[in-house]
Amino acid sequence: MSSIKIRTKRLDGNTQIRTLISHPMEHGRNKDKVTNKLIPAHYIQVLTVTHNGKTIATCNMGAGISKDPYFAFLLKGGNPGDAIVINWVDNLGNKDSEKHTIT
Amino acid sequence: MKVNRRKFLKTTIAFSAAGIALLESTLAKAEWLAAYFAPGPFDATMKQLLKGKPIVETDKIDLNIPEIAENGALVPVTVTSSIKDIQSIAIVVEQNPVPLVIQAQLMPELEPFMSARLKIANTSFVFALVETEKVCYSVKKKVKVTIGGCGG
Repeated sequence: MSSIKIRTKRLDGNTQIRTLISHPMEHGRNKDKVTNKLIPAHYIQVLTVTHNGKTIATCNMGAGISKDPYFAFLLKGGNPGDAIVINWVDNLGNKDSEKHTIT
Repeated sequence: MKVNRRKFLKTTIAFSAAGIALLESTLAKAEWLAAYFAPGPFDATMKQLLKGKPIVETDKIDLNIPEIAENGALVPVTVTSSIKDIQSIAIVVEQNPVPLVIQAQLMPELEPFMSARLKIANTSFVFALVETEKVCYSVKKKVKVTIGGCGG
């Protein structure tokens, strides 16, 4: 199952894109309560949003984003049937991608 | 057809080289700005972000963030702006070990709007920077964190 959830909503002629990603977003300074060892850093570094194949947003982020990150963007216009694709890459090289069609 | 060892080696090397080239091009596309996210003092991060552009305080940016955050690990923030032709929106937390939280390059297809959730380690000023071609607009707000924001 994909780690990305995408919702879109029409707002006054614009389209709001909301996304929720399930990811631990560990910054590497937390300790494991059982073993008392540092939990290694594991966080998303780059998130890209494309609209009909064109990149509309590139977000570079650090571990200062909360666990299970949520983002919202507002697309000018946008028509039903347009494809929104969201990709992320984390510091361990994991990646995921999800496609959504505006309704 | 007889495939000798020499030929086999040649083709495998050629294919793997092509594969590496392909991998590198996709990596380059999503290149992370590692230097920006190095743990360091707030001033150094700001300097890198501004790239020599003057910083202007403005009221044209709306930074919507709670004044008192009960849980520093999850602080919702929304940045909206009426500034035209923006290039990027960045959110910087002064007291965090890594001050820069997110830098989003927004294309003209998007409205100057962004919403996210941050971790804030201590009571601190939160800055929203909106970058245009010539200047950086900024707005700041103080956020009080009542319990530690270090939790994941």
